[in-house]
This record gives sequence, structure tokens and C-alpha cells, in this order.
Amino acid sequence: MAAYAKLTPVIVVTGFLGSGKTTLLNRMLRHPSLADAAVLVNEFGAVGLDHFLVEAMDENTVLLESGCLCCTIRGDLKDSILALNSRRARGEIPPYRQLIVETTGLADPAPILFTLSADTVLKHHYRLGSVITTVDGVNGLSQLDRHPESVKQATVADRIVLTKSDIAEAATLERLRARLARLNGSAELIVAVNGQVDVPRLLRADVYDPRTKGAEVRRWLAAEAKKDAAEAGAGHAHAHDVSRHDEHIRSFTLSFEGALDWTAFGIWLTMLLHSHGERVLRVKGILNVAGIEAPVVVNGVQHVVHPPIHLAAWPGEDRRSHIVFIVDDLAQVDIERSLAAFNRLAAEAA
Amino acid sequence: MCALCGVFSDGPHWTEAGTDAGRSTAAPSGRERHLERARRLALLNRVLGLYGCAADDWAGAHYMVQRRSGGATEMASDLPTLWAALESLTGQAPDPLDPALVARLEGGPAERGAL
Repeated sequence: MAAYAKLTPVIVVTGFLGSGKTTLLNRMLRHPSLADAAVLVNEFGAVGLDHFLVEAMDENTVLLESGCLCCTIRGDLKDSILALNSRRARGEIPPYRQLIVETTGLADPAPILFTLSADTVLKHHYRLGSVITTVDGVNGLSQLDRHPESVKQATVADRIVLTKSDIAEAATLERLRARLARLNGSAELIVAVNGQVDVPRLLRADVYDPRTKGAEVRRWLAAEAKKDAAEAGAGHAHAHDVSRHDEHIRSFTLSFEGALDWTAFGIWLTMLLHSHGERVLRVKGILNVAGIEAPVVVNGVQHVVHPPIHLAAWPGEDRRSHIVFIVDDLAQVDIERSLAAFNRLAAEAA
Repeated sequence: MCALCGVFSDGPHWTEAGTDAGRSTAAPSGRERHLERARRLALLNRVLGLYGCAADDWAGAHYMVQRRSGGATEMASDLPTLWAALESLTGQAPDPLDPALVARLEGGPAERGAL
């Protein structure tokens, strides 16, 4: 079996209808660092993709017995990737080293991420690279208001590309930025101007790439800290609109002094995801694990937790554990108190 | 798949695999895995006890979960399936944010009666 870092990384490009996914993809594919990428799209749209290997997939889904929507195997994605894999193995297509999956505008990205990490065959050949979400600078606010898929797409993102910034009003863009920061403060926000986007910045870090994972974790934490400082400065004075369905979705960071017990953490997180998985939209962080010198990085989307990874060294002087949560109507204080209680249980047992 | 019991197994769960899905140099050895599993069971049983249940190891690969008062046994291959088994046995979703559960965990062993 290949080492995890040697699996083919999959970059997921998602975003609501008309938010500029295909335009962004075309821009990305011109960059030399994606010359060895294969692309899977849900349909061949009006805008063609100028690339050597673009395949379309037929949408069909397989709902697992649990009936949980986020733990759904996307049969279309699985079959399409497996077909590409076979053709690559037989030498029928160039040996691509990266795979880009473009979702439909109405797709919930969680099943796509689940398929990549849970399918028995796929997980031995592919790994999640990063999730890039396009958000429409003009219509993004109303889409977040009205479409839960749009909110999900923003919360799972590692990078958010704000499109159409050149035709959007400055005040609208500012409100949209604040809204996205509240939903997913740890995602890097990249502004596309006149369709131009800084592609190397978009692709530069990947939490599972050994060369960049430390930098990516540093960036998560810095972005969350910046958001927290901005919220503290504003004194949470922004008006709350209870009609917005994402009103209760927010991100926050828990920081723990001292080491966390890995066994207790696993018991706690699996129990939390069992009972509240659909409300824990994202959990990711860097852990100071008792008995292990190097930090451990965890990364999960709803019920799906990706394989934890070791960093070679701490990314800075700070040795505390920091865990970023994006939750729907769960209280920060309850989560913090619960994890501390489980960790204390482990200390008693030591 | 296990030829004896027919249970599918597709590698260890993330909580049991060490980091990098058990493929890094940090992957635990067989002995460490065994000790870790025993410790996990001990911790688990402190939580399961609050629900009137207990788990035991089955061949180092599964958990057997049962009410302390006896009755049906549920098999679980990993922690997510164990929580589902507990829910099936007790008829209630185990919730780590439940204030009553957290209070008992915070209260120390003497105050850790069943929920």
C-alpha cells in the first residue's frame, strides 16, 4: 500500500450555481502546476474546459443503511474515478498525478468527501487534497440566505474564492466577507478580480502534503485568531437576522493547556459525531498528545474524520492544542467542558 | 473479511490506527496496539457504565456491548458502531454534551452513578 502522502490528491472545486466554478477551473488548468491533473466534471457546461483530460460523470448516489446524508457514497464519483484509475493503470491515458473534481452547483460536498475517504478501493489510491469553494460576490449573500447547500459549501472549504468582486458593491462584499469569516474563519479568502486569481496561492498548501502541512495548520490558526479578534473588536454588535438559516452556524477555536489523551479524545469525538455529527460541520486542529512529542493534526467534515497526521515539529512556540469547530447551534462552552471532562477521565485512569 | 464470523474489516478505524492511517513511522506496534486497546476499553467502560452497559473485547478486533443486567449482546467493530450499539441497547442516543453525563464525569469516581 502506498504511503498516505503518495496517494493521488483530489482537489474538490465546489460553489453555488453561477458562482464561477468553471471560469476558475479554466484559469487553474492553465497553470503549470496542474499540467499533470485529470479533471472530473458533473456535466460538460456551456464553458468548455481546455485540458487534455476532462471526463463527465453521471449523477447517482447510494444511500448507506444509516440513512445519514453526509455518509452517502456518491456512486457516480466512485465509478468515474475507478474508471480513470483503470485507464491510468493500463496506460490508456497520461499518468495523472492529481485529480480535480468539480461538483454541481447544488451539490452538498460532504458525500463527495465521504466517498473519497470511505470507499474501500478509492481510499487506497486517492486522498483528499483541498476543497476550493467559489462564492459569488454579487449574489453570495442571498444564496447563503436561501440555500443550505451554499452554506455547506462555504463551511467545508479550505480556500474560498470570492468571484465577481469587480462588479459587486464594496459594502456588499464587506458584508459577505464578514459572513464567510463567521461561517468558516479558518478558510483562506482569495479575491478574484476580473476573473484573475492567484493560482499558486490557491494551490500552495495541502494539509496532507508533507512539504506544506505545517504551513497550512499555521494558516488555519492565524485566520481563526484574526476572526476572533475582529469579532471581539466589533463587540458582537452586528445585527442578527433570525430568518437566516445559517444564523446559528459559527466557527470558534478551543485551546487547551497541557496534553490531551489520544484515547479519550477518540472516544469523545466519535461520541460527539455519533450524536451531533450533522451539526458539527467541521472540526480540525492541532493536538498536543500526551506521550508524543510532535503535534497531531485532525481534520473532519461531519461524520467523516480523515486520517490523523503527525507534523514533523510544532509550527511555532505555542504548545497548546487548538481545535477549530464549525457548528450549527452547539454551544462552545458545552463542547469545551465536555472534552475537558473526558480528558480528565483519562488522567484518573493513568 | 473474517472467514469465521463473516464480518467485513477494512483496516483500523482512525482512533486505532495511529497517525497517517497507521502508515507512518509513528504507527504503533502490535504490542502497543494491544495495550492501547485494553486502555481504550477501560476508559470506555467508565462511560458505558453511566448508561448501565459494559463492553468487552472480542478477538482483539471487535467490541461486545451488553447491558450490565444481561440480555442481548451487540457487536461493534469500532467506536462509531459501538455508539450505535449502545443506542440500540438503551434506546437513547449517547450524548457527550449531556450536562448530566458531564457532571458525573467531572464529579469523580464516587459520584459516578448511572444516568
